[in-house]
Amino acid sequence: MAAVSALRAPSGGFSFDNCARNSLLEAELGQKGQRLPAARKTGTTIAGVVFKDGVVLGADTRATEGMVVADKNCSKIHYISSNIYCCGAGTAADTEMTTQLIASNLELHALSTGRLPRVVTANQMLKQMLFRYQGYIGAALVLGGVDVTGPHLYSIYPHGSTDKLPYVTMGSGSLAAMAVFEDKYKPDMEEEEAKQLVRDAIAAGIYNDLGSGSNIDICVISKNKLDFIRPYDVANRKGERYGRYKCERGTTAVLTENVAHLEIEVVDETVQTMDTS
Amino acid sequence: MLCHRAGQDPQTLTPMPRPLWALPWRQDPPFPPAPHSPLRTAPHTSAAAPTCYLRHAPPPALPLGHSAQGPAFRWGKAIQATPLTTPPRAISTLSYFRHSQHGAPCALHPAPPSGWRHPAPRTTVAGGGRTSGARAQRGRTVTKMEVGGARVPPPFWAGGPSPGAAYSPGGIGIGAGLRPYSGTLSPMVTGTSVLGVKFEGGVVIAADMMGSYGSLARFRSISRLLRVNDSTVLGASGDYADFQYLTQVINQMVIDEELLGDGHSYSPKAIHSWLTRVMYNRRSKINPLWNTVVIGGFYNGESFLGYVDMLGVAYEAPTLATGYGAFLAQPLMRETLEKKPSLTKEEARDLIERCMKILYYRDARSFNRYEVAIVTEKGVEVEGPLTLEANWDIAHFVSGFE
Repeated sequence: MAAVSALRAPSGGFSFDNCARNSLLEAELGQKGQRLPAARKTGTTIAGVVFKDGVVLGADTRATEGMVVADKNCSKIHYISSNIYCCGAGTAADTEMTTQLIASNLELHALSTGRLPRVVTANQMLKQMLFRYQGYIGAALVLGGVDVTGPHLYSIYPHGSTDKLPYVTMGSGSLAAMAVFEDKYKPDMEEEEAKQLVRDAIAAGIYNDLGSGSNIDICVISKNKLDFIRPYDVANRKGERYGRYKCERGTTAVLTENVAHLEIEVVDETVQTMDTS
Repeated sequence: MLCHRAGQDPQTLTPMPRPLWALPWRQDPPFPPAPHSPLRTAPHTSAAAPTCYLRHAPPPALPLGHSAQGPAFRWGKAIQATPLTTPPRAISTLSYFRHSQHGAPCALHPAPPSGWRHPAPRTTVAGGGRTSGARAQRGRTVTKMEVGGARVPPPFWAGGPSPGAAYSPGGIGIGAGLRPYSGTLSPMVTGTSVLGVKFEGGVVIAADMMGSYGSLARFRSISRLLRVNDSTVLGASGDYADFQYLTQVINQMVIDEELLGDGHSYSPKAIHSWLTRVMYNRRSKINPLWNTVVIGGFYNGESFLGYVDMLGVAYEAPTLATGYGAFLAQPLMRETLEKKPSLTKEEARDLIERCMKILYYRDARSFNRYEVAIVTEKGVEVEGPLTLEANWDIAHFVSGFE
């Protein structure tokens, strides 16, 4: 596996070491009639917005495995550095491992430079890695942070393209969230306004997209502070049961009781010693 | 099966009134009829003993356009002489019994699967089943089984599928591979989303005025809204040609109804119901009208907003959006209605306009010229063409991509 490291330049070309193994596995399982386990996707709504003093990132908390919710409350806002956070949509493992890898490398890089890491550096690292894997790493990311040059927000696609914009959304609920942004975004918002806007965008994704659900997590990054609010809003609360569905003893009247003993006789007894050699 | 062909009732042989879903002047191409259709069999003659013991109805009079020899139009020589067009062979009574007490398969009644047996025949004449069976096998013709199939459970219908047998309805018959397919395979000139919102006292529907030819913005001034009558409007997305055809049909229907002069006009719910049946029947024949239609109206003091798909999916809702509108506009419309379930006309109009703007921003096949139709108690008001004001200030914040 070609791991990116600031200290060692990556070997040239693409590394598709596992592809042959994967296709063999798939063929083998296909013969037996089994399928490869479905990749757990985050089927997500993630969004980010730049406001007056910084960026606000938001995400829902549902992880799906096909048509089933695998995790009702997973965390999709990943730590990159103390001033940079990244929301991830797509294959859960890919977003998790990619962001962790870049976080490690960015820390090494920061120690090497002696400076607070910049958002554009994280962006470059992520896009260079994703492009190297030609889209096979299914990670769609919303990267945001504040550094010495100011607040920045990027969206990074699985094939490695990036966009630098004031508001971005990714994931299956991205259209619903983007509709809210297009309707209500204005430049230079206040923090509370921005938080409410991101909350509304994620809520639109949660209520109108089946791949998104549960709670809304928010991360506010500005020059002096970092607020990681999890959950910011519990959009879907599990319903309360109104009644007890248990029948008490005596609900059904017993009219007659007939106890019949089962005649069990030991017919045969064998002892088999276990092979403990 | 018999009933659906040309609206003839086989029992009474009197022509049924044309069913509502039979569109008047566009017939299906005169394909050779299905193997089980009575049109295929040789004309019924009383001289030939029927070889199949199941009751045969005399074939109904042929519909217009078909001659007794068969359909006037043939799709090629390959169809002309298939085994199914030749009349079933006549067999002797002896071999009739030899076929394990089934009649020989005829074109109308294919043989039941091999494992199926008729219940053993019983006669009231002396002896039990065994003797009668033995007698039957010797070729005597007194068993009840022979008399019109009385011992056999009578078929529920004539000329249709027999129980236990494989049935392929007329649309997809043997020879389907030989016939060229002439249904709608893919849409050509298409319209994008249509939006609809109910408000207090009416409905508002909007659609942009663009017909895309794939990714080409080919026609930028077409109307995708249709005023049906004073209480109903209809907006369609999808194939524009199918929408034009639908417009023709609906307009003619409205004229026909006005000619009746009974003071009644189609209600929006009636149009929705009718269109659901039409769309579903078309899709069942694998020849859909490739449209998603939004029907809005105000009738008898109630607003109506309905959706019909090219598959025949139909439902009503307080807000509707087709195409990309379902992803982009529907969340906004639903959120607004959740906060305020009953909108005024101005609020509804405003909501529609906001949604159309967002569609223009984010739908790659949309356009900024659009029409709005508002239906209230007073009637239908179609406003258009209106132009959307797009705000591109954000462009100043974008430079480069990293």
